[in-house]
Amino acid sequence: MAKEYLGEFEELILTMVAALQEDAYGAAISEEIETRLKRDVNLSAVHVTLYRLEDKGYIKSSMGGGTKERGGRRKRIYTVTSAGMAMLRVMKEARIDLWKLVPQLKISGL
Amino acid sequence: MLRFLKWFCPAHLYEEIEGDLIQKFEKDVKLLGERKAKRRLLWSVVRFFRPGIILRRQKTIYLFNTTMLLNHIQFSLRHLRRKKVSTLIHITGLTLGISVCLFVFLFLHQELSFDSYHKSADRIFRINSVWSESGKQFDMYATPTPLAQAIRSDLPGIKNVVRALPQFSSMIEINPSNRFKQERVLIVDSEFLDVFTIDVLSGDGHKALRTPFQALLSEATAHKFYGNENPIGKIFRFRNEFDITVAGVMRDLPSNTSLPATILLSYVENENFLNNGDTWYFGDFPWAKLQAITFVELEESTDPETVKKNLSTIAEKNINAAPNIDKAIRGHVEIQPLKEIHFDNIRFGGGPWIKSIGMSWLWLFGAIGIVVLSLACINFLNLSVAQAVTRAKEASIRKVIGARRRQLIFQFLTESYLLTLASGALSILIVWLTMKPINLILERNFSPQLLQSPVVMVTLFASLLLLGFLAGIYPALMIARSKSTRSWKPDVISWRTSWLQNGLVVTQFTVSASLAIVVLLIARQVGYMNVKDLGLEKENILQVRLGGSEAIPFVNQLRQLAGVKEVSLSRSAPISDDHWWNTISEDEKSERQSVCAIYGDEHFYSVYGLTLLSGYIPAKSSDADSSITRVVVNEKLLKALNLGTPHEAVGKHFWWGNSVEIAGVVADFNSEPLHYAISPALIVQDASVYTQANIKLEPLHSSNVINDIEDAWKKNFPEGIYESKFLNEQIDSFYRVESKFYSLLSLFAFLAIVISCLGLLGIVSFVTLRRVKEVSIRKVLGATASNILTLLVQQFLRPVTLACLVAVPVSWYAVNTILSNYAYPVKITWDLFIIPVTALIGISLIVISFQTVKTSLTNPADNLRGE
Repeated sequence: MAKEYLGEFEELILTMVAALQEDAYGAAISEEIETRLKRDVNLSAVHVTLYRLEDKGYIKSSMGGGTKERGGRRKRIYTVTSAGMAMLRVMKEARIDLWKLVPQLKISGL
Repeated sequence: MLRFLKWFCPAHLYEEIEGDLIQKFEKDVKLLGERKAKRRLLWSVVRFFRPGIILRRQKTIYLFNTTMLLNHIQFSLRHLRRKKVSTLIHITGLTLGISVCLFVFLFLHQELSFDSYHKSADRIFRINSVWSESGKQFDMYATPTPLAQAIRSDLPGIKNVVRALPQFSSMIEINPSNRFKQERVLIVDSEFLDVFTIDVLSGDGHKALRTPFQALLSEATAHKFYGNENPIGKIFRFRNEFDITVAGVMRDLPSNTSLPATILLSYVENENFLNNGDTWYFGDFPWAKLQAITFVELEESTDPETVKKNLSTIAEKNINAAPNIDKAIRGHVEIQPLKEIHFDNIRFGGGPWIKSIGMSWLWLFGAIGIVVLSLACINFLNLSVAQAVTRAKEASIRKVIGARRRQLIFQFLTESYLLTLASGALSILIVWLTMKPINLILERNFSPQLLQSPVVMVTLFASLLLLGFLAGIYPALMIARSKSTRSWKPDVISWRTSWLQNGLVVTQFTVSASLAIVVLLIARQVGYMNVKDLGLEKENILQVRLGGSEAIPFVNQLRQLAGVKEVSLSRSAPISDDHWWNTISEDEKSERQSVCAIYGDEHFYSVYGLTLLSGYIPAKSSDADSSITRVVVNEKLLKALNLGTPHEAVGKHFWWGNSVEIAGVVADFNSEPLHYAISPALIVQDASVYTQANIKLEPLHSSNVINDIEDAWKKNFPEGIYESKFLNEQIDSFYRVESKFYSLLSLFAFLAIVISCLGLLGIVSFVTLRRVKEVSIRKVLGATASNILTLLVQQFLRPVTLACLVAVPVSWYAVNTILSNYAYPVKITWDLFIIPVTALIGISLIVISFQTVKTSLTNPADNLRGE
C-alpha cells in the first residue's frame, strides 16, 4: 500500500525537529540546516513545510516563550508526534534496505 | 515592511513568523551589516508571500463569508417572498430574456461552427466556376467533372482533390414492396474520406468508394433501410437502374456540415449514373457541363494565391481555348475556403442542400438577442431602482447596526444573483422544452445535447454572473451610497431616479413598437404576395410528377376522370423558382438579353389561365417539313426586343439559339416568386423535357378525384413513386423565408411587449403604492376618483406615448429597408404605424389601470390612519 509520502525537504525538516527537541522552531531549524549542511534555506520554505507536516500529523506545536533577540515575540515550538517518529523510522529503514542492494564493488571502485 | 507581512499573513501565524524574521535579522546585522541584513529581511518577507502561507488564512475567511452569505441569502429570500408580484415580474422578464438570448446563442454557435470540425478545415477549398455570357455573370458552385483530373495531374502543392456529385430525390428500392425517394445522396471519389473528417464505423471506407457501385450509409440511413439487420453486403436498387452494394456504415454527419450526405456512392464514369437532373450546360463538351462540386486540400506549405493562378491557366486552356465553345461564353474557376461557404449567400451559395446565411443575418439575430436581453435587464434595473426607496430604510438600519458599505453592496448583489441564477435555470428548462417547436419553425436541427456542451455551459454561466452583476450593481451602489440619515426620508431618492425610470420605459417601448410595426409590415407583405394577381390561375391546379416518358396514355386517362377539367404536360408551372434561363436577341449578331424559357404543351395556357392577346397557340412548335420553331412570348419580351404591339409582333422572328417565330403573345404573368419583377418569357413545346402533368380540377372537386388521379398514375407508372403538389401550396413555399422570418419576429415582438408591459406593471404598482397617501389627501380635499385616475395614468402614459413617437421614424427606416427586397412591395400607409402604436398604448393603458384604478378607489381613511 502506498502510504503517506514525504518529500526530501519535508524529511529533512522532520528530522531536524526530532533532533532539536525543545529548541525546534522556524528560525532555529533554518539556522541549524545552514550551519550543519551548508545549505541555504529560506525561512518561508521552512515555515510552510512545518505547517504542512503539522497538517499531516507528524509534528505538533505549542507556543513557547519570547526572547530578547526576537523582539519579545513568542516562538512556536514543534515536537515530533509518534506518527512522525514512526515515519522517520520507516524511511530510514527503507533507505538502508535500498543501500544494501547497491553493489559495493562499484562504489569502492569509484 | 512588516506591515506588508501583517496584511497578508494569517493572524495566528503572524507572531512566530515575525519573531523568526526578527531573530534572523538581528543575526544578519551582526554578520553582514545593517544594509545587507535589511535587504535580506525584505527578500525573506517577500518570500513569505506564497500560497502555503496566505491560503492558510482562507479557512477563517470562508467561515466568516458563509455565515454572512447565508444571512444575505436568507434576507434576500425573505424580501423576495414578501414582494411576490415584483419577484414574479423580475423572474419572468429575466427568464424570457435569457431564453431568447440562449436560443440566439445556440443558433449562432451552430452557424458559426459550420464546416470547421474537419481536421484540415483550414486547408480545404471549394472550387467554384464563374461563367459570363453576353454580360450576364453566373456564379456556380458546380464545376466540370474533368477539372479534378486536370488538377491532379497539373497542379503542384495539392494534397487531395475530390469530386462530389449531389443527387436529388433518388429512387431507392430495397425490395419491390419497399421503395421511396432518398434525399442527399452523394457520389464521391474515395479521397472524400481523406479530405473530410468522417467516421467509418464498419467496413473499409476507402475500398468501398474505390469499388464501382458500392455505398457507405450513414447510421440513420442504414437503420431506415434495413432496420436492425447488419447492412453490410446488402444490395439496393438505385434509380431503377443500378444495383448498389452496401460496403460500410459511417457515423451520421453532424448538423453543421454543408454536405449532409445520407449515402456516399463510389464514383463511376457512367453518364446515367452521374446525371443528377440538375446539370448546367454552357456548351456541348465536358468542360462546359457543370455537375460536380470539386474540393481541394492544399499541402500545408501551399499558398492559395498560386493555386488561384494555376487554376486560371487550367480554365483558360480547357474551357476558353476549347474548339467548340460559344465565343460569347467565358468561363473561369475560383477557390473559396471551405469555412466561408456557409456565409456566402451572395455569390456561390452554401451548396446543394444547405442554404447559406449571410453574416448580416447573423449580426441581426445577435442584435435581437441582445436587445431582448437588455429589455429584461432594463426591467430589472428599473424595478430595483424603484424599490430602492423601501430598501433604503432597511439599508439604513443595517448601517446603524454596523454594516459596512461593501457588505451592503454585497447583500444587494446577492439578491440580484439569486434572481439571475434562478432565471438562468428556468431558461435552460424552457429552452429544453421548446427545442422541438423552435426547430420546426427555424427548420434547424438543434439537439438538447447542445446545452450540455462545455462551451455553451461556460458561456451561459459566465454571462449569468455578468448579468447578475450588471443588473444588480447600480441599485446596490445607489442604496449603499445613500447617507443613512437621509434614507429615512425616501423622497430624496425617488426624485432623482424618475428621469432614469422614464428613460428606460421609453427605450423598452420604442423597441416593442418598432418590432410590432415591422411584424405588421411583413404580415401585410406576405398577405399581399398571396393575393396579388399573378396574371395566371393558381387555384385547383394539381401538379403531378411523371413517372416515365410515356405520358400520353396517362393524360388520356386523366381526361376521362370526373372532376378533371383539363390536363397539360410541361416542364414546370409558369410560375416557378426552377425555370431554365437562356439568352435572346433581335438577330444572331445583336446584344443578348436573358429570357425565361418555359416548356409546356398547347393545353398549358388554358390550364393556367394565361391570356392570349394576339396570334394563336401552335399545336406543335415545329412541323416535320419546316425547321422554324414557333413560340409564344409575353409582352415584356416584345418590349425587350422592340417588337412593337402584340398584334404587330405576331409572325416576327427573333434569335434564341436559332431564329424563332412568334406565333402568339400572352399577357404578362409572374414567372418567378414575387421578389422578382416580370421578366421576358417565352413558352415553347418540347415533349422530351416534360416532367409533370398539370391537372386543372373543377372548383368543387371531391377528394375522390385526387385518389383517382393517384390510381391512374400507379397503373401507368408502376415503377415510380407518386408525388403531387397543388400550385398554391408551391407558391406558398416560395415565401417560406418570409413566413419563417415572420413567425420568428412576431415571437420576438410578443416577448418584447410582454417584457415591457411587465416592467411597466412593476413600476406602476410600485409608484402608485408610494403615492397612496398623496392620493388619499387629494381625495380628502375633494378630488374625484376619475380626477385621480387621470392624474396617475397621465404620469405613465407619457413615456409610452413618447416611445411610440420615437418608434415611428426608426421603424420607417427598417420598413423601407425590408421592402427594398421585393419587386412588388406593399404601399407604406399611415395605418401601418397607427395600428400597432394605438394597440400598444391600449395595452399599456390596461396594464396601468390594474393598479391605478384600485388606488383611486380606495378609501382615504384606510391609508391615512397609520400615522
